[in-house]
Amino acid sequence: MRPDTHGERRQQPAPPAGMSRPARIALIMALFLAVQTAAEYVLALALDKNLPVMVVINLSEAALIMVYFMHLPRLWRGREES
Amino acid sequence: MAVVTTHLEGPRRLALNQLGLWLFFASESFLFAALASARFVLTGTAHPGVNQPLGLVITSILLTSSVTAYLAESSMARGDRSSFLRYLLATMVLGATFVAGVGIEWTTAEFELSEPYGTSFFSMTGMHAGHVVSGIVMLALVYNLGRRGHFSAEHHWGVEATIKYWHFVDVVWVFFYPTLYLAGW
Repeated sequence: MRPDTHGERRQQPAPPAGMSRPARIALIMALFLAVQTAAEYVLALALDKNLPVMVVINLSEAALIMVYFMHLPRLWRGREES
Repeated sequence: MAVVTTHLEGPRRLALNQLGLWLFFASESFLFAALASARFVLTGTAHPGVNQPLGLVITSILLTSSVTAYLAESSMARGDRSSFLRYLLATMVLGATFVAGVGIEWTTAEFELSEPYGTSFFSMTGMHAGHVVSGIVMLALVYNLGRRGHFSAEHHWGVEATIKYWHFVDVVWVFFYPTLYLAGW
């Protein structure tokens, strides 16, 4: 008996449209890093005492890179879960 | 006399590799932190004669190279070798452009190596550019191996470690850029 391929197709979830997960992460990260770098530049030129702002922006920038690009959580969560 | 040998396989070995790499990053961080703190001790927050637009451009280039490096690694993780090679090549080109930008900054700088700020600037950018160049060399080795069919979706620790090193060099610049060009209090 031939399987009801039409029915199977209807039950399966639709294939993910558009970008893959890594491409989506890369795009979001690129946007975040661009905004943070631009904000850092503008604020540094606008404010004389900008060190606290710089520290906050740079720590968040570094944290994003370490978590999403360097996969830091894999150190304690393992490869599969991250 | 009994000889004890250990043979680590699979995930456990990979976990130890990861830990070793992060410990290496931690030890390198002390070196870079010492240079950054020396800059503030020597010259406060003065940044005389730096080329602000050039600093912004080379920073953007290096951050973009981290995005392409991530895409290269994720391409290999799903076994897409042609995308892997393409993104890796883009990363190397962006890294070389960054080094060229640093070279322009060095040749057009309005301060001397003998001045306190010059000492900080040239030692920090020199140490960092040295790491970028070594990263490009390692990426080129990985590129060559990848082109010859080495690495796979399941086994690509060499790719992962090299690209993590590249991201680390990027993170260092995330702190060096404001330290040299922007910070004030």
